[in-house]
Amino acid sequence: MVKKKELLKEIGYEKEQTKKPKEEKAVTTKLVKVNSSADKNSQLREY
Amino acid sequence: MIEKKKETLDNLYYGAGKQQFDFFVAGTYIKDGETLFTKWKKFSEAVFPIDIDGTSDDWKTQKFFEQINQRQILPNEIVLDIEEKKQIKPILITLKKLKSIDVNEYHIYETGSRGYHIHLFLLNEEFNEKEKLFLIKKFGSDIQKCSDKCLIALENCPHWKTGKIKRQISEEKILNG
Repeated sequence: MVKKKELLKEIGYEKEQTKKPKEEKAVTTKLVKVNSSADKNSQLREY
Repeated sequence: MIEKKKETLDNLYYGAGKQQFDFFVAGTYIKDGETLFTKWKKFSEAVFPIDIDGTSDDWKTQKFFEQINQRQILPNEIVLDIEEKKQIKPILITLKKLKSIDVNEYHIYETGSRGYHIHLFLLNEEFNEKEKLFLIKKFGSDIQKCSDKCLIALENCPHWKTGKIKRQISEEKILNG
């Protein structure tokens, strides 16, 4: 009968498992400055 | 036919499974012209009480046994399920190249319905679902067969859809045909 370890090695399963997972893209948050000095008095803004 | 079913199921349980896997079996029956499915029963419940000639003293057990035409894939088994005959040859060529598999360690069947099954068995080891999926994808066959929730047509028995027997076919026939 078939030996699992040898079979999985031959078909590249082990290699696939040891691959590093792809780095996830860092989530960037863009902060919007609402109360800048230029419009300190303006709370309503349009985006 | 009924003796052959008993032999096939015993070969799976005692031979391929080495008594380690109490797999499910199920069948079909016809009621009012409609094909209906039986519930699933474990091998131990459905086949242990059956004698070598395929009979049982208990008529309900006997009736269920007669209806069996499907089985669960064993945890130590890979089933490569392919639709077209022409897909078998490239898979066999790949299998033959693998040093970990001998020619006697896989069995090719025409299912009696559409498609073909290539069965591979491990000795005293099990595949997990992830490993099965990887292997099945590698050979481009049906990925549903990596699940233990999937029943397949029972070897040497009539297929529930067509009534045609799921028969083993020789490797030579495929490679030279």
